[in-house]
Amino acid sequence: MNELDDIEGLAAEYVLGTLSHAERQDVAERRRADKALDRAIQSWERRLSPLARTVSPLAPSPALYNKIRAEIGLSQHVISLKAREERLTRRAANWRNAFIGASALAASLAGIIAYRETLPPVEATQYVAVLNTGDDKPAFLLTVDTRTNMCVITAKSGSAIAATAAALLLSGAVASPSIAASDAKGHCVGANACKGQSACKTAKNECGGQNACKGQGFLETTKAECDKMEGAKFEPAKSDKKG
Amino acid sequence: MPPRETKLENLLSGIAGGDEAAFAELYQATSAKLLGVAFRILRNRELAEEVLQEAYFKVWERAGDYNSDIASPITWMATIVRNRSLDEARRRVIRPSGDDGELEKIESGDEHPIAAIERAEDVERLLRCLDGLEPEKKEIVRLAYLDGLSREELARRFERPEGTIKTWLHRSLAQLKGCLEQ
Repeated sequence: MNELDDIEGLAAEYVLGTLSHAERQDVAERRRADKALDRAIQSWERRLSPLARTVSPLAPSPALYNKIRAEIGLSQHVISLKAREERLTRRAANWRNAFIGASALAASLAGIIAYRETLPPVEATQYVAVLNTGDDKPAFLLTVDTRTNMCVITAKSGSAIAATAAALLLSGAVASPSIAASDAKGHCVGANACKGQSACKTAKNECGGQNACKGQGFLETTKAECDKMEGAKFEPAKSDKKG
Repeated sequence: MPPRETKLENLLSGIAGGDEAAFAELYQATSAKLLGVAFRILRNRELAEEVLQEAYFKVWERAGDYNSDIASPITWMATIVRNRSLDEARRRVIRPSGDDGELEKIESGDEHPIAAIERAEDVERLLRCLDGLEPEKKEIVRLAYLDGLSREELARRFERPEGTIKTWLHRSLAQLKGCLEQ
């Protein structure tokens, strides 16, 4: 019967995982200087690692990837979602906000979107939305990919964002019915005359907790439209309303 | 080298250059598999995810050190995850003794994916060589590598002195090495 020499035996058991905590620490320390031991360990890793591929996969929690990126210190945050497509669609709609700076760009996007809406429903795999910081300046680009269940938020400078959004939409990579519906609408607070004009009358799923007809109504308008109304203040649509 | 390995290598070199999209893709491609490896050893999702978090941090930091002559990308990453998992398991002594019921459950749950996956050549070869061991010895190697059982835990489980387990392990590993080199 074959036997392993000391180094081989130690390397093999280190890789197999049967050593005690103290022994593992010793080996980890020793291999830094002991090249023969280090090589033996690498060889055993190669020999035994195919076994690891037989282990059942286990999907990580959706929040884990974001934690990792935060630890790495990246400016970009990616959130892995377990949501179904309807939820993602709704979320993209909720995140939407006043954007599309240039009117020419808006017009061209509206054209593209109108065209898309005449097509039979396609299997949308990606949504894009632009988020602003509340002072009406675009700050983040949100991409929701229902195929990979990932949601990417990228920090953007104001000038870069319209071009990025346009490029994404024009590339055909993005199916964006939700943005189409949003156009540049936000809440025009204080303009609601409570005479059947509340946006809640027509909005399908965002009435909960914010029906405006309690003295603080709003109209869903563009900022430009809102600015024309006396005593009204434009607020971008809120992002994370529930039900 | 299989196309998948080449793809992972490309992602690692992208990550070495700070490519965040490559990192996202690598995570998507490997995280479930690696969490499976960590969970199997730690049997605690929270701990396993902590280990995974550290492991991907290390992958991001050290992707430039990856050397394809030494290991395939998945071997390299699985090694990082296993080493951290084993350190954690040994440090905490998390496994209650005599917890065979849970062990059996995990064991039996493992058969399906083994049968279902399209086995790579090296997986086939290793499993064939493992089949050449006596059933009890094969079981010990699998419990050690996949479930992270220490010599002490194996001794308890198989009701043998630790020295006997060590001898069995060394003989089994020598036999495996010989088989794999044929």
